Amino acid sequence: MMDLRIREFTKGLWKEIPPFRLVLGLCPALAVTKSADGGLGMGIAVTFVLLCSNVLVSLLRNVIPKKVRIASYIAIVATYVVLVEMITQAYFFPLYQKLGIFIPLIVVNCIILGRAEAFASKNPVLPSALDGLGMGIGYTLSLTVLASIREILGSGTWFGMQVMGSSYQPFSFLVEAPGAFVCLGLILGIMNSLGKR
Amino acid sequence: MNENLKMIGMLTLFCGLCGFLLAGARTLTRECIEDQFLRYVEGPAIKKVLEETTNDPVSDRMQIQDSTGGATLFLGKRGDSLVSIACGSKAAGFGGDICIIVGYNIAMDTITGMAVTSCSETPGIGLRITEEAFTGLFKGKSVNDIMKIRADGGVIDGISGATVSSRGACAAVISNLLRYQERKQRVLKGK
Repeated sequence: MMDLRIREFTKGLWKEIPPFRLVLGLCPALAVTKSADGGLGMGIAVTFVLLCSNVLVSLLRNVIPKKVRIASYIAIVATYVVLVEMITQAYFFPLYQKLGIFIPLIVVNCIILGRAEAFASKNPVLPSALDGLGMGIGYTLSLTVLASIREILGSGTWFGMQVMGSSYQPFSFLVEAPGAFVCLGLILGIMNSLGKR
Repeated sequence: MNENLKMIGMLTLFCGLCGFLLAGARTLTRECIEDQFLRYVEGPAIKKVLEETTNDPVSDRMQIQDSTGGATLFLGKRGDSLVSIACGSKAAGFGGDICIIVGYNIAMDTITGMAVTSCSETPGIGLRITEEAFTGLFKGKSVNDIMKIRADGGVIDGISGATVSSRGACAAVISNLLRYQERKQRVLKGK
């Protein structure tokens, strides 16, 4: 039983890590990973929404009529997202300015609806919470790694600190939109070749 | 029929509860958000429109009552003497309200600067009203000038392709100007 619980949690960290294995939620993964703090902030916001929505969907799974479940899930997710938006606006304003429109867009992030539909609507509260937390942490890790690679190579900084020597010529292609696709593609390739073994 | 009613009822209940929750959260965070907005968005804009002041206009602000209700004025001082005031206003643009801050030199009755604090204009088109090339046009103009785009007989060069946004920004400046004299008198009396 305990093993199963641990597996619910850890599958989001490696076996089904979004967005590298579970290729969902790509829009913010590409858009906000210009700098490591943006990626980390987005990841934390998504983790919060994912955890809360999974718990609530799981709690209400026997109450919500099947035919209107998607609409109900979206109402739940949207509520949490607006809550996150208000909190970042009130306490982390620079992050809010950086993430901008991508915070409200968490509502339509496929991971969240995907986990609600595929997992939380069929499982009890604790496994759903672990699933949400694991997926969220996995997403945060992925985004931070992707953003770190782009920021370090693309602007020579990491979380805003200078890490490359002053003689380093930033590979600014990576902080542009096409750089996000190339970087994500390379990581997906590496993950796939690792997974084959 | 019964099933339909149940679905409608549940969805209504959900949305109602969510709305209620969010309204509560909004009340709790509103003050904090306004503070942050003042610090990160309006603050820099105010400092930009009130150049050459030696004080901090954001902390030297005063509430006044005028014919339109309450307003917040930001006072720019050089040494101890009051040289300029700034206040906000808004008007409808292309994609929603355009909120601006206008700074005035009270001795010369001229505009010392204009800055857009929030708007939802189209990026690349209407959003160009936030750029210095446009906001700089208001700088140095007299309060008696006609703050309309040239097509409407004013003195401001509108942005081509963004007439609605340019008009909106001008309308916000005009509504600001309308109250300038009254506000100036109140500030001077209050001193």
